[in-house]
Amino acid sequence: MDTLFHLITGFTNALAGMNLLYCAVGVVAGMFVGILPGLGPTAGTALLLPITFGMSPTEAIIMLAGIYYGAMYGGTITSVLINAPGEAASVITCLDGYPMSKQGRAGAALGVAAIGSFIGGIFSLIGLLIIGPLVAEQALKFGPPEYFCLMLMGLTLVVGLMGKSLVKGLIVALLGLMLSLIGTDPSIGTIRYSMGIDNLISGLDFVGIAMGAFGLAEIFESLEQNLRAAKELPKVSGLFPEKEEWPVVLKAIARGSFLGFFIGLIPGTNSIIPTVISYSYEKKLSRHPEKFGNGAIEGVAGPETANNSYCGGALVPLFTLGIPTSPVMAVLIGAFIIHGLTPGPTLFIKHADLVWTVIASMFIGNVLLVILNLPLAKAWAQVARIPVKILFPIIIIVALLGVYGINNNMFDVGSMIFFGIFGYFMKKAGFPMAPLLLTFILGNQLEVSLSQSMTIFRGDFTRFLTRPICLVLLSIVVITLVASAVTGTKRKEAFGDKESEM
Amino acid sequence: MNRSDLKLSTVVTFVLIVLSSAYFLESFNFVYWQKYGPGPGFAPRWASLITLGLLILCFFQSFKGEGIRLSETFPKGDGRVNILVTWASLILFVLFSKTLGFTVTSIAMLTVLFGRNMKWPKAVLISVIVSLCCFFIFKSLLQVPVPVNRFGW
Repeated sequence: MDTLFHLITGFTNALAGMNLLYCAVGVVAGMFVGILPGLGPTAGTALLLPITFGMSPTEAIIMLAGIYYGAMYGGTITSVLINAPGEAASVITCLDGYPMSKQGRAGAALGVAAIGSFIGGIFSLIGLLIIGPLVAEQALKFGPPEYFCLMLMGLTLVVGLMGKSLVKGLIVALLGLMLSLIGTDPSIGTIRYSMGIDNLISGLDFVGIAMGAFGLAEIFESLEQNLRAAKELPKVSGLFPEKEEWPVVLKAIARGSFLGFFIGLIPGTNSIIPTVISYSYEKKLSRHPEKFGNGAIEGVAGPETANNSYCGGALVPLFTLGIPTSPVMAVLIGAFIIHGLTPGPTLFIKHADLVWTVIASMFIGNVLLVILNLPLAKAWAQVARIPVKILFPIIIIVALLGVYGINNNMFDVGSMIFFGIFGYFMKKAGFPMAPLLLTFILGNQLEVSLSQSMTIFRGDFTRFLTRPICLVLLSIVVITLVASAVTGTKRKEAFGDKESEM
Repeated sequence: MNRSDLKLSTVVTFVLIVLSSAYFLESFNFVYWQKYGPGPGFAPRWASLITLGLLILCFFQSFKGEGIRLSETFPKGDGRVNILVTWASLILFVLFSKTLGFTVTSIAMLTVLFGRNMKWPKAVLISVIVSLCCFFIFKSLLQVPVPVNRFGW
């Protein structure tokens, strides 16, 4: 009953004035980000983060969340129409979406993708509002040792499940931790690694690192590839599948919704994993597996549903535990911190208004996206025709202004450029950049909770093992590390490295 | 091994080893342990020590298997010029925007970036429009601080 009351209040707030506007702006910006090749949701949210500085926390989170799930929708359009996925989660959609488009069924492909995304999005939000408060309630019972182990487990899962090499993932994660330790130490105020630079006394700024390592680095990679704008677009007509296709489509959507949501709950996964699993599952269950790759409608419906459902699932650990499960979530957590909020179990109590307004705004955002997608798909696809050589310089200027605005100094701009170039080389050398952001954002909390735990334990590390929750979490850490070392090569072959940055 | 055989990951790992070693040595200047718990030197020392171990492992691994060679790091042709021009313009922005102000620096930077793909007059025109729009949106609309010259733009 409480949940229903909170949700109604959330809807009232989300529909009020600027919240609704920022939700609309967020999903539209997300659609742009998703459609444009060379920019993913992580880069999009990181680059647009500074625009939210002047907003209230609720408005800012509403807009950034809108960008995130809007990008998931946007990527589909170019996958179907021009066989160019705007973001990595839509790669699978190309397999059947583009053949459908060539058969003159682009409208039906976009239609089922939009309907599936909508249902998946709504399903995962219902999951979030049912599971979220329950998890948060349990998490309130956690003390510093449990929190330390939980963060360690989250980070290990991220490092273990992402990227080609466990060693490289661990190195990058530790580099993120080392960067987070720069500045004033939280226990006795010692200034560490400032090298006499005043700007480093308060530590490196998260926004500069996120915008550099994800935003700029991604733009540099795209500039290098000399991306060309799409020239011709196929005709889009008839936005719904044939009558006899509906049962197959609805079943695929139902399976995709479950799959996406539950995979979203696991730290270290990304939106590609549910799409790949959904696609293979649909193919396995199909009476006509030979149609897959040649325009099977359930090959579009399942994965598209799964990737949007994943978004809601991934918000559960963020809202309830304060653990970012992916780089986009790390950017969102950074936004929370910038706006003076601490994601975690207390968020549901101390800032219940904000949480429920954001959740309600996501329902509204999903409705907006269906309205924007179904009748306007072809108009959206025109965005893919904007030459990136014109667009990227504008994005760079906006990023420069945005990062300068954080502290009104050039140091942050310099650090963004440094991390952009650093990220470019690191990616080329095969180092995944996602763990850097995650450990950087959690570094401070990790150190504080470790320090508090050790004070409780009077310096005895072994007492971690005497607490049941810690024991379970630490066992997962060990199992993850061993398992990812053993299975690393197989996973590398199955998913590649690109997905690691989602 | 000649220079062209050297892999990018070997060089990156080597640079990171040097930086992590410096970080590790610096950690000895901070208190490692206080009366009941870790001091400010605890986390940096362990983090950098483990990183160093992994980096050394990675350094030796980098000689085996596949990877981008140092000579292949940058693309050839247009791609290379795109990257280098963008980096140079970013550095110029950092160096001059405080003295020349955002508007002038941004127009110059965008003209250089756009000028590679369109005729110069058009590039200048678009740069002026984009710079003024950004200036207005950030400074007036969003009230975000913008680097300005002594004339306020």
